[in-house]
Amino acid sequence: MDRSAGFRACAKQKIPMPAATKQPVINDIASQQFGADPIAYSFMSKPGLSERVVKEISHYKNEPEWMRAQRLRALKIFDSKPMPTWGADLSDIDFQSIYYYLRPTDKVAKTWDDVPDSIRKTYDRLGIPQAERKYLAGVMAQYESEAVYHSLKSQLEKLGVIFLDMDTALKKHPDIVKKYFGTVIPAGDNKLAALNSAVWSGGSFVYVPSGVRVEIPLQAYFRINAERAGQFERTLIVAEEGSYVHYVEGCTAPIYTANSLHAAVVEIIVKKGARVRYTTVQNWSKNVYNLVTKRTYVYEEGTMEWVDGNFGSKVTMKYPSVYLLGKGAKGDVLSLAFAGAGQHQDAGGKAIHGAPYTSSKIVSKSVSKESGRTSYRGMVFIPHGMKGCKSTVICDALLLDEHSRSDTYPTMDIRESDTQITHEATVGKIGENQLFYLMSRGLSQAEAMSMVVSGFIEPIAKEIPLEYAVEMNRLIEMEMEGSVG
Amino acid sequence: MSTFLTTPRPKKDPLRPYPENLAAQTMKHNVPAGEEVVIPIKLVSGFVDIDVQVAEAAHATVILQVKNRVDFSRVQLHGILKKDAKFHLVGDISGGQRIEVKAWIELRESGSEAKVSGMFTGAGAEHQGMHVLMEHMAPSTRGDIFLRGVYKEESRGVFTGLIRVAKDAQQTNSYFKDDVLLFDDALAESLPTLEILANDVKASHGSTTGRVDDEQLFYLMSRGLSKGQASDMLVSGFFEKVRERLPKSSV
Repeated sequence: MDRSAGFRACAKQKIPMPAATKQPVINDIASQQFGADPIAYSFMSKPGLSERVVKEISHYKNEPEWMRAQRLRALKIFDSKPMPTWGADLSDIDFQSIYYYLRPTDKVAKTWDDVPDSIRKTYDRLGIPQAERKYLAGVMAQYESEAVYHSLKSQLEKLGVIFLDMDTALKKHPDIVKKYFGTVIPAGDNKLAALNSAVWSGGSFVYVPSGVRVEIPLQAYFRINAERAGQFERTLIVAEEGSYVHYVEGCTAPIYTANSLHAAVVEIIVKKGARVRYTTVQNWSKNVYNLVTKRTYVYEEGTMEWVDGNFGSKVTMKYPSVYLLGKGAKGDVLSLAFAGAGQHQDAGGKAIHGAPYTSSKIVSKSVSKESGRTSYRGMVFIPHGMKGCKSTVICDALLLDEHSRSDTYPTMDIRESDTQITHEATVGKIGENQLFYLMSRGLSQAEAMSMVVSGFIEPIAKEIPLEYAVEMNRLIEMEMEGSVG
Repeated sequence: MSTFLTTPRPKKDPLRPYPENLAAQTMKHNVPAGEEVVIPIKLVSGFVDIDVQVAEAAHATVILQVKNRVDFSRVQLHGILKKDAKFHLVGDISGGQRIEVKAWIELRESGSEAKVSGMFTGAGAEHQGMHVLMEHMAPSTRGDIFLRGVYKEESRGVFTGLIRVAKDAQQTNSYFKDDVLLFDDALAESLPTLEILANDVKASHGSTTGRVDDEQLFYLMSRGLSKGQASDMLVSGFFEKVRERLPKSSV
């Protein structure tokens, strides 16, 4: 699969420090590396966060008044909330040195031909195969802060499925957006959700009408590409009664010299009997702070499945949540984390049982090597009166060498007696006997270790669409290179 | 005692606060090298700080028991284990406005082993908590924590654990398990945590919360037992798993 070459290039290339950047033209670092043209940004905010910056963003996007007011309210909340200190170390983030809005082109391109040359070249380098671009439904590539390329297969349009970038959705379907935006994750939820609500840009909007099954996964590519560029995408998925959709999010980014921040918000509403699956393969460059709030409201008989793979970033804090709000609602979180040198993957899942006879399952697998640290942080909450709820939490961690670290912080708050809650966690290393067996069959130690790791994450890998699973396996092989010795 | 290290807690404490001006007392036990001692402690009202030093190859068993009903009580036990020392903390707790046992066990030298076994029963408006910090600071140490609680009516139980394995504490095995049976309007909170900095370790925790098994209840009732009798029998069987771990002399 060609695309993994893109991941590989992004993750492994050592890219030189860029020359001092000039506004409004930023030397695109990846382009420099590969000898392409610098990209002209049609608008770039000054670094730093202020009321003025927020107003400017809203002005340039030509937004309705309610969104502008909401952004400003969120900014106040952001200013009033302290940084979370209970998780990973976030003390290095300097909110005043981050660019909050970059727009590479003026309008959203309708067809592939309309996408500017320089951006197309970058995608070629990322290795998204041409065939995939054409045949996969609704490939929407987010370059910088706004969607520049967005195609939607006509059959999806006929079904009434809306798949747009968030900014366009706000213009074209203001009623639906206004009805749901910020209802699952209000700005006051946490400091970074407030930040996103104030400066959000891009992201996806998916609306699936009642009874419609979208058989082909909807995919979007995200990429941070300018030094100090924060990316604050906002995704909203609404699945009406009895519908089904699978949304796939993959992230790649080249290496930068300054710390970058990615603070996304993903809100999903799963109505009666609907099912939504959201798959993420995250491979941000290893200096990005990836601080994401993801939450789903699941109503009667609905099903939500989060499949979340974290490989890149310097620090990730991400706990996909399911709020089970109707009888028979079901929520699954499958979380996979791989932490190499200097990385801290603080991931997990939350299940809030807000209705009786609901069930949840959280499975977390993590691998740490060198000075990498993985943490599982999770929550199961069953309020009084929520009879017949079931929840299972399983966390397994693999430590590859003596410098790696793994933590497990689950919380189970059970206020109802008629429930079944189980939690298990294990931490260990690769068994000598497993290695010995594989090596006796002719594998090298590195191959054997790689195989054991692949087997360890298999229960989650098999839930990921094939092309991503192939990429993921290559990523793991790549990460495992040089881990023996 | 200066700072007493303990486990992460739930954001909101579900247990009622302690009143001010509770009596405090401290106890110290030094178990000399190679000796085997049993230290029975009857839980009394107020704050009790207990220091237990277990010297080389010594074996100490602390048995905390509630015989009389107490209102508010908090035990802070600090155990320090030397080379090849063995330590067993047994808790048999019932009743209380709030009874809390905090144990901080340091496995300071290689070959040391610590066990914690706890049985908790709450009814009415009783509140109980158990918090175990097992610190593996040296190679080849073992930890084994097993807690079971039964809560009825509006009683509450909070179980937290932290297994911390230091970077040098290779070849360590450590377990934490808590099982809670809930009846009526009782609630329980479990927070079993792990912080593992070494890699050649086996560490795990497990936690279950639920009610008595319907099928087991049905079976016993089909044999002529009333619902109350059947449920009592199942609770007794539930605690049997903990009793099996206790030293013969204490049963």
